[in-house]
Amino acid sequence: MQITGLTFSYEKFLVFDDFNFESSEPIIAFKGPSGCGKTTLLKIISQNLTPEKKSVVQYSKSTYFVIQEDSLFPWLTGEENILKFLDTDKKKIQSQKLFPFVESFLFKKASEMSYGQRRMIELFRALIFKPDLLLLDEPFNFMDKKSRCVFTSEIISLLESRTKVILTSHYNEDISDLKPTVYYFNNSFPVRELSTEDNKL
Amino acid sequence: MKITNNSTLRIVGIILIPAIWFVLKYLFNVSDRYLPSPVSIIDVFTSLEPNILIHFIWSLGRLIFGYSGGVVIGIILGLWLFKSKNLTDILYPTIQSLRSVPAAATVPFFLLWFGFEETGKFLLIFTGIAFNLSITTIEILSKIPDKYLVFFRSINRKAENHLKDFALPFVLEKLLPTLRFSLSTAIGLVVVSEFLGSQVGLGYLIQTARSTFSMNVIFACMLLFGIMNYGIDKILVLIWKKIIYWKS
Repeated sequence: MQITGLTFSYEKFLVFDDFNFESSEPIIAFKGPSGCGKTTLLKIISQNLTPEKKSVVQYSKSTYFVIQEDSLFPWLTGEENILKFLDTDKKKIQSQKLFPFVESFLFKKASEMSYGQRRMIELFRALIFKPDLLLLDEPFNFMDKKSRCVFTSEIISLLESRTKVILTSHYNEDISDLKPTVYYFNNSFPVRELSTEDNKL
Repeated sequence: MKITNNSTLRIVGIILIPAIWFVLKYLFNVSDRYLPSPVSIIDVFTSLEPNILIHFIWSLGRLIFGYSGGVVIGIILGLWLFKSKNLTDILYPTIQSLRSVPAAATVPFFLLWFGFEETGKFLLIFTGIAFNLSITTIEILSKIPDKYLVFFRSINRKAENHLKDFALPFVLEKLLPTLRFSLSTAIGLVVVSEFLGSQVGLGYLIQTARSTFSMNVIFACMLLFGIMNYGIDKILVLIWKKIIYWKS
């Protein structure tokens, strides 16, 4: 991941100014207080926000972004949220390692699932997609400890197939098993660089 | 403003208007020319030939066909324009202009083209509703939440290519307020179409009652329009709750 001279503002509020970042680690975590620019950076990396022209951002061929908010379509079942939008089929879904774990609620309408179940289906969907770059914004919200462990080990498996992962989280215990390289935002704007303590959790 | 469900106050509200009516009529002796008596209005339901309920059924039929047709085609047109940006660029200014033309002003066109036929009345109501709903549909789809746009970008697809699984349910979720408002518009169009080109219907009755100064008939027709609007609105809300089941 390489970013050079990134400049971005929300209307007149300058968030990133000549921001530079480089890392070749397979899994990266961005940490910092709320509102410091973590999600904005993920949106820029995933091309959901467009920085100013002089910015150079190395985009991946396929980037899948799981945002903080639940983005399942409530009128569809968990399975339909996957089948109708991804190039996959029932067989591939059933052969995914985590299928037995989500099977009990996969066929429910998303509106009938709990927040934790919806979160798991979102992550399940991302894992089936197998992107080159997986962006996870507070991925384990509403999930119990057992579910977090199960999904963490599957994300680690994904790294073995050369997928890179960037995630954000406020809670060390959520992501400690992933052992990411952590980069810190401080709470001042505009952001020009991130600090690192070479701090593998 | 919070709407409470206080039954006592609701009963008071329902009784209030008739009570004021009674007071004005019998205590202040307001003339029949301005305010008919409740008894004379009840009389209308038994004395007219054909019965006022026949006129009611005709108006109701026109409303249901015209309104339903306008809603369905309006949504389909909106989705079609959402799918095709080029088509939107071509047709949007025209549809916006047509939407701004008061439907009542188009009555002479429909009269000249279709005479007293039901087709003309249906098309008047239909066009009065369809263009408005298509614009509303496009407006709703221009404000897709970020969370869905991020998902579509992640899978490298466009929301416009998922009309059945995404766009339609997303629009239906937000359309109820416009539908309820359009219902009142549709009733107005039924009245206008019956004023000028009909031999049966509540609008026709109001028109003939006006020329004979039969205020009790006009009041009875207005009462029935009110009941029609209230009843269909309630049914619409019930049906919509079933359609957008995920909101409950």
